[in-house]
Formats: sequence, structure tokens, C-alpha cells
Amino acid sequence: MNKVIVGNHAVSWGVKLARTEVISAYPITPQTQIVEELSDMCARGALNARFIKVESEHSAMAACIGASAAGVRTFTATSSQGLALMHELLHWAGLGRHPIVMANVNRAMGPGWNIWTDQNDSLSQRDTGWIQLYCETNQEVLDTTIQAFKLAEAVNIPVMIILDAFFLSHTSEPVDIPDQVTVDRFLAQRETSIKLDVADPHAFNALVRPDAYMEMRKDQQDWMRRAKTVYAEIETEWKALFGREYGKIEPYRTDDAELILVTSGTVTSTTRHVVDQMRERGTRVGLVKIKMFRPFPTDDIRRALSGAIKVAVLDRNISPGRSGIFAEEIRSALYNIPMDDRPKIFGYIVGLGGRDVTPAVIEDIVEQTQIATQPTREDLWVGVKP
Amino acid sequence: MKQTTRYGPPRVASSTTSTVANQTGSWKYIRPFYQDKIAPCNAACPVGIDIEAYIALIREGRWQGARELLLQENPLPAITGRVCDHPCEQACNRSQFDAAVSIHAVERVIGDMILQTPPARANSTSTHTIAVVGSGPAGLACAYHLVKLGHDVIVIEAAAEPGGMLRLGIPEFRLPRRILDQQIEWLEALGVCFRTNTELGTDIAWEDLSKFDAVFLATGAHSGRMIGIDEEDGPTFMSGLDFLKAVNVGQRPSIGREILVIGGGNTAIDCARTVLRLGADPLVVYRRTRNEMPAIEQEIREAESEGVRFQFLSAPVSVRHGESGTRGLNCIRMELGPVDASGRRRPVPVTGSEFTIASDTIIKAIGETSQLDYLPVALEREGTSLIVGGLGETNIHTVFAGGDMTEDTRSVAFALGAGKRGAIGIDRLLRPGRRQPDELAVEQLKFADGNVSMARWMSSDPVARAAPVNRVVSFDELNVNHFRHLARNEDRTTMMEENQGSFQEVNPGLTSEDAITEAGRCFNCGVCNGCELCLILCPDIAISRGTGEERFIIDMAHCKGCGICVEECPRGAMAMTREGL
Amino acid sequence: MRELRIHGRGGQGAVIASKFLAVAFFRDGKWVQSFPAFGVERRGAPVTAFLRLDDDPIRLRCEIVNPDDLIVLDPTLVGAVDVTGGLKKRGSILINSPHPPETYGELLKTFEVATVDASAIATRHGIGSKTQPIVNTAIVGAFAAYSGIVTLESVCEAIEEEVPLHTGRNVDAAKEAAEAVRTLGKVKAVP
Repeated sequence: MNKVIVGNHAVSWGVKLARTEVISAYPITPQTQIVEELSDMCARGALNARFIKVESEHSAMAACIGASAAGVRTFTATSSQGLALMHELLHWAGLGRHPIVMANVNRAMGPGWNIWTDQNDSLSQRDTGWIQLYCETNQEVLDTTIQAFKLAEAVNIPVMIILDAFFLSHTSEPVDIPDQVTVDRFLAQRETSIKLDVADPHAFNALVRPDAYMEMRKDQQDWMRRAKTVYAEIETEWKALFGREYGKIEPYRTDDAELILVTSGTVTSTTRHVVDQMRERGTRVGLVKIKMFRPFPTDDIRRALSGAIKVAVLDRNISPGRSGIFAEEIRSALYNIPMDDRPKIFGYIVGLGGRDVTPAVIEDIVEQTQIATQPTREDLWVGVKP
Repeated sequence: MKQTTRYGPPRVASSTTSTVANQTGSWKYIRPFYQDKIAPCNAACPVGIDIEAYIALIREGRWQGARELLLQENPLPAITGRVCDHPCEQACNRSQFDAAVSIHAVERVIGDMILQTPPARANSTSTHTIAVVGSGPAGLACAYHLVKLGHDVIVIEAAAEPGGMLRLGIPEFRLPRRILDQQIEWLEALGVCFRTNTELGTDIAWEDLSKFDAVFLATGAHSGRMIGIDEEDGPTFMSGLDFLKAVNVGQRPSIGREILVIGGGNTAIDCARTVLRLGADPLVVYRRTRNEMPAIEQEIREAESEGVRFQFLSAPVSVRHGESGTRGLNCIRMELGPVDASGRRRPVPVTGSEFTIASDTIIKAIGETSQLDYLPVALEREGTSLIVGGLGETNIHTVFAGGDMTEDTRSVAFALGAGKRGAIGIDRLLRPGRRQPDELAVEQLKFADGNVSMARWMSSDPVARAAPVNRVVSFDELNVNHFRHLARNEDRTTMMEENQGSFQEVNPGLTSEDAITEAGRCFNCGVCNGCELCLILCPDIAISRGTGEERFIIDMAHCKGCGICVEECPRGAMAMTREGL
Repeated sequence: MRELRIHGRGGQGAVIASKFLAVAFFRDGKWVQSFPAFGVERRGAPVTAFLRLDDDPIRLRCEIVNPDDLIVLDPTLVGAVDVTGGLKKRGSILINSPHPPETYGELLKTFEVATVDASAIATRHGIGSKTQPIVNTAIVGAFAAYSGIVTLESVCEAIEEEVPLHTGRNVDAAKEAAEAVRTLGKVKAVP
């Protein structure tokens, strides 16, 4: 079924098709439509889920952890300050190994108060033990939402699906909504051997002494790494059923490219347009889209970028005092490859607080990178007024 | 199709073995248990109604059960729902949280429902016949309970119609005659026999009563008290009760325009509102302030809104003689002195503060006393009241008494309670086998220090109770954090303009939906209502749902005696005890 | 690729109008993208909404600054805000107005102008209130007829899909407005 829907509703549809059992969320712009639609689906009986109203995002995540611990499929959604308020419990969900799925609509952190897109909210939660998947289109948002439950439940790690404020959340475009029967073939009811069960009581999350804590962390790390393989398996399965795949990363026209742009989120889409136009003019430029940020697909990144002469990373985020976060990760991923294969990394800061990243901005970055032999600094700010 | 690999459980901070093995129960030195207590409303009810229990049934929409429970203790709920001064609501713990549960309004809704269908005739299971003298609330209650206990009863009434003070002393706008008539018919259908127009001492002699197995005296108090000033038996004075009786039998006494009503009780307020309806202008003269008035607060409020005026801190001194006959009352200002025996501050005259109020008629409504002249002198009395025991016993073996003619608070509810006590006293006399002698102590029949319970006398309490203790639960014993503030469903009072000159009932009552909502406000003080907070909050999951009478079972092998269940119980229905004791 | 911008006031339904058109174009086989001006809205304040359409999947995900076509839901916006800002030369403007296009002489120097009295049509069909008619269904009907790039049939189907209440009235308004567009020098139909 094809429908023209906003990205927020693509999330809602995914959650519905995944037969989610418990939803707990607190509204925040620009995420509100997601849970508004879900609460409506619950009220209409279209989705047989328990919708738990709460007074804050912290409580929303607490409710999700409780529900997930009881063994049911659980979802929440938030944005920006809301995600920040959840921070403590994001660790809890991560180390408790609760396969919760959350949609985070990327929105800039305040102050100054800003409701527009920017990745600093989700990237600030990098080390909380959540898988992070950044989406480019409403179709990808819907597909990834359903996949996320399967991934989370396979590795017992929570998954954050990330979509750009307004450029996806509030933009309507055609989406192919899968039918329930096929989704049911892809995603069975959640099964778990460890859960809160009064008939078989266990102690959970009690004191863990130094002699055991490290092993617990190592297990989390091992499964984070395995999540990359599992995601590839899930994508294969998805493609067989629905004919679409996205990849942890997606190289686009990178063959023989001298300059490769690296993007995430909706900037990717506009960059494809620019790459196509420049390719027509004979420029040897390509693109690598990063979808999976945690676990970081280091090997895929090495394969995709080694051999290029220059790499320009477009970061819609900033780690204050350092540089763009994706650029940082890529520099670190490429450091241990042979010196000859190592491209020069140009890290551009673009589009913070929802500032538009137009084809002109991207073309400018390409030209600047082509001219330069060496980045003058690790964070190259684009379009900043004096 | 190839399914994604499923993997084993993650390494999380969870115990590998079941925590059932960890018998945390061995840690405790105190243990919780379920212990039902007495709700303050039950203890405060002069009738002795299990209010908490019937309100709980209404909340669940179980009207039939609520009716049976209520009728076990109170024969006249449609009447008490209207005219009782509801001490239950003053005692209600909810009044310390937001506002008391509107118990009387809920009772009235069931009372009216009860009158819709006549009762089945009670089975006569005894060979005894009892005479009840007087058909006011005490007599009606005694007759009702005795009939339900299987005895035959004849109610002897001096007036033309049964009802006593209910018919003669309470104005129509508070208690419509229609309701009273239906109530009498209802009692007749149950098996109560009435012999009206029969006055003891005139139409039948005291000796004629000896053919009955027992007698319950409830002839009330009808003589108006005197103020203690000269000429107060003159033509411009009237007793409040006589005035109400006259109006209640359909007379319209000519009282003039300016009417003084002396007193501050319900009779005074009823008189003032009746005067207003006769088109005259009442002024209530009371020697204390509004705060000390014994009348029902709601009645005072309604009187005020209807236009009744008040002259507080004033007492009559003498009759004023004007040039054309008696035209007024000389009064003196009072001030409140130290607290007296009634617990109220005693009014003291202010020297030199005399003043005069013009009046056409002066209605004295300062209380009534009993007339006991028709009774044999052998019956022990103190002043004008008979002396009775805890179950209405007089010093004569087969004679019992209750209501306004005894030393009891004078109200419909207290009279109903006295009637019930008398019925139990007579039942005990005539059928000693019903209860074992050691169980006969009246104290055991009472809701804490309140009235006796017929359910307890009959050992037929339909409400299951866990380890009950006969003690009232205080507000401090509740955990009100679990309650939400909810507005009280107030009585709807008709507009004052509509009340002018009309004896229509002032308060149209609640709908049954409102009654359910109002019942939902009840805390169920001291009584487990199965809310499951104990089960939900037990950190050791040691509490589970029980079957049958036991609502919950505490697994003592795992209960570590932390006391969270007791602390969190919203209604104080749990307690802790020392281990091994 | 073609880009549209819709001007209205908060409450008039500009954002929904862009959604109607997106659905209609999609039904006609186009790829579409519609979105509101990103930010906060208030009833009565000027608002804008956008639409992209193309024969191929749309990759541009940035704001629209140089639209090909404009739809103006409230004639008082002309002059009050820079409605034509960024509009391409000879770009089209469809204005909800009781007046003929000739009234907008200044705009006609640079752009193509058409008008339709969508407020009157919406009021006639009882859509919205008399003081605040909701004109979005009427004006998208007019746009179909005037632009010729989307079929009236698809526009009506889009309205049926997206409007849950008084659907029939809204479809009728769209059809009536399609007949009532005034272009320069001629009136298509007298209402």
C-alpha cells in the first residue's frame, strides 16, 4: 500500500506493524506526531498495545525498561532535551540489555531554544550502549523501525532510530507500507528467556562486584560488535521479502572517486543529487552514507574510503573543543590502515540548528576540498556569519 | 526462508538461580497481617449502620447487596437520608482530606429505591407478641427489628396516623408526607401491625399491656420547655412543637407578621422556615453564636438563603407591654463565657444591654420534655426521663424503653438506634438461646464505641472481615498519598424564590449515577477492599491473591517483615505483629 | 522538477493544501515531497507550505527558495508579505480573490496571475465558518484547472482520501472552483 505520509507517521506505522505491546512516551516537538498517531491507533483498537502516559521522558524510559524486562516488545520516541533527560536510564536500558526501540527525531540542543534538526542530541548518547541508525527517507524510517525490533531482540541491545526534524519528521512523501502478513513472517513475537516473572523469580540489576562487572561489559561489547553481522542478516531477509536494503553504510558512485563525501541523515539525499550533477560534469566525486553509527562499522568504512585521495565529512553536529563527531570517528577508523591508503580527512561543520544544507553548500564544500591540499583545521565551519 | 540466528541470553546482572531459594522470611522479627478495623462513620452512626460496607457495594453498582446491608440495621433509610444530621459525615476521615463523603445523599438514593418495591412478609418464627407504644422512629425501629427477628408486634399510637415526631415535628419541605406514608405502608407489608387513635392511659390501661410478652415504650417528649420569664404561657407565646404539629396536620395558625423564634436547634430552624412559608417574617433569637447552634449546618445554610434572619447572643428577659397589648419581647445581649458541661462556651448576660424586639407571636423552640404521668410509678426515672440499660431494659423485667423519653440525644437517628437496642433486648429476653451467654455483652455488638449491630447480634454479617478489631481507624492511619482529590457531590437545593410559600421538598437528592460516583470517594477506612497495592508493592513478591474469603495470602517464607505493605495500605487495613508472639 | 509554494494564514489550511496536491500528483504518477515551513505556527499569522514534484524520486532535501508556482490563500497577504520573493520569472501565481487578475497589475509585469473566489465558493459549500472559510479544497481544485499539471480527478480523490468530515462538500467546492478560475482577459465561467 502506497501512502503519502510524514516521516513521523512512518515511525508510527512501523511500530504498529511490529505489533508493539507497550508504548510509553512524553510529547516533544518535533516528535509529537509519532506518539499522537500511536495513541490514536491504540484508542481505535488498530494497535493492541498498552499506552502508558507519563510525566517526563525519564519516566517514559523507566516504564519502557519495566515493560521490556517483563518480556514484551516496547517502544518510545523523543527528541533533543527529552532524550537528554533520559540519559541515566539509557545506560540502564543498555546494560540491562533491554531490547527497547526508540525513535529520536534529531533536534538541536538548547539554549538558544531551537526546534530544528541537528545531531547533537543523539550523538551525545553515543556511549550509553544503544545501537544508532540514521535514516535518509521516510521509507527507510518505516523499514528501519520494523528491522530495529528484530535487531534489538536478537542481540538484546536497545536500538535508536534517528530521523531529521522537519526534513523527515514533517515532510510528506510516498511510502510503501508493507502488509501485516509479510511483516509477521519477518518479525515473530518477542521471546526471551530472561524476564521478570513472579512464577520464576530472579534478582535483577543488584550489586555487581569488580570481579564480574568487566565481564558484563565485555559481553555487551561482544554483542554490539556482532550486531553488525546480525543487521546484515536481517537486511538480507528484509530484501527477500520487500525488495529494499540500505546497508550499515552505503557507498554511492565511489568507484574511481578521488573525493568521497561522507554524510548521514537527510544531507545524504541532497548530496546524492550534487554527486550526480558533478559526475555529469566529469568530477570524480562519490558519497558514503553512514546509517549505522553504533556499533561503528569500522571495516565497512575502511573498505569504502581507503584508496580515496580526500574525504570530506559533513557533520551536522559538533563536539565542542574537538570537531565533527563523524569526522572524528572516521579519522580514528582509518588510522591503522596502511599509510598509502589513508585519505586526507576534511571535517566540515554544516547545518547546525536546522540551517539549510542546500546543493550550493555541498558544491562549495566539494570545491574547497578539491583546492586544498591539507585541511587547515579539523573543524571547517561552513557558512558561519562573521 | 532463513531466519535470523537466535542467540542465548545476554550476560546481565541477574541471579542464575531462582530467588525462591532465598528464604528472606527468615530475616523478619515482625510480620504483617490483614486486620480490618472500624471506619469512623460506622462508629459515629447512632443507628449502628455498617456504612463503609454498603458504600463499598454501591461503588461496585451492587445495589441489591447494599440494600440488604442497610436494611439490616436501618428500617427508614429514605427518611434518615433526608432528615438525619449525619454525624457519620462529621466523623468521615475524608473531611480531613478534601470533603466528607456525602453519605446521607447516597443513603437517600437507596432508601428511595427500597420504597419502590414492598418487602416480603417476614416469617413469624416465635410465639411471642410484643406491644410497642409510640410510632415515632424509636417505636418503628423496635417494631421493625422485632418483626424481622420473627416476633409478632403491635404498635399502639395515640394519633390518627403512625409516624410520631416524623409526621408531626418535621416540616413537609424536609420530609414529604408521601415518603413517610410509603415507609409506613412498607413496614405494614413486612408485618408490622398498627393500632392508631389509641392512647395509653386513656384508650387502654397500663394493665392491658400485661397480656403482651414484652412492651417497648417510645412515647417521646412533647412538652415544650419553658424559658423562665413571666407571662410566657400568654396568648402570644407558642411552643415550637405545637406550631409545627399544627402546620403539619394542615392548619394555618394566625400568627401575625413579626415572629420571634427562640432557640437554636433543628426545631427552631424548622419553625423559622415554616413561618417564612406562611408568609410571615421570622427572626431567630439565640443566646450563643451561629457556631454553637445545634441545628444541622445545612439546614441553617438553607434557612439563611431563604431569608430567615438571626439575632445571635441575645436572650429573652421579659414581655414588653406596649400601649395596645403585648407587642414585643425585651431581650438582653449575651457574651460567651467559659466552656460549660455541654462543651460549648456558656452565654453570660451583658449588664445594661437590654433591648426590645417587636413581635406578634413568640415561638419557643428550646427543647421538649417527656410526660410520664400515665406510667406506673414503679418504673424508675430520673426527672422526666426513664432510666434504661444498654439494651433498653427498664427496672421492670418485660418492659423496655427508648427514644426521647429516655436520657438519650434527641434525634431521629438516636431514636432508631434505641429502637434497635430495645428489639435486641427483647429478643434476648424472649429467646435466650440465640446467643451464648458469654457473648451477650453489649460491647461486643457495637461498632467500636458506637451503636450495636444487628448483624453481630444475628451472627449474620454478610461482610467477610479479616481478623477484625473493634477500633476506629484515624485519619493518621491512612496513607492518603494514594487518593486523589475529588469534589463532593453536593445536595442540589432548589432556589430560594421557589421555596417562598411552598412546602415542596427543598432538596431533590442525587441521581443513582451521582451516588455511585460519590460512593467512589469513600476511603473504606480500615477495611481491605482488594486494591492490591500490598501485592504490587511487596519487594519480595511475597503476597499473592487468595481464594474464597481470604483475599490475599502472605508467603511467610519470603516476607522479610519490611512493613511496606502496611505502610502503603491506603486504608489502614493491615498491621504488624512481633514474630513468635 | 517543479517546486510550489503556498501562502496562507494559520488556520486556513495551507499545509493541508500542500498535502492534497502531493497526494494528487502522486496519484498522477509523480514523485512528490510536501512540507510546511519548518517552525512554529499561530492562527492568523502568515504561513507557508511547499511542494516538490518530479518524474524521478526526489533527492533534494532542503527548503524551496525559488518556486515555479505560487498559490495564495489570502489576498491580503499580497503586499503584506513578500509573497513573490524568489518566484521564478514568469512563474505563476494563483490568488484566492474576488477580483480579476487585472487588479494585480504590478505582479503581471513579471509573473502570470490567475484568480479564483475560493472564499465565496467555500462559504457556499459550508466549509469552515462564514468569517473564516477553509479555502484549501477549493483552491487546489482551481489549481488543477489552471495549471494543467495535475488532474482534477486526482485532486478530488486526494481530498476524499485526506478529508474525513464533509468530504462531499469539499470535493464539490474543488470542482466548482475549477470552473471559476479567471485568467488574464477572460473568465472561465461565471459562478
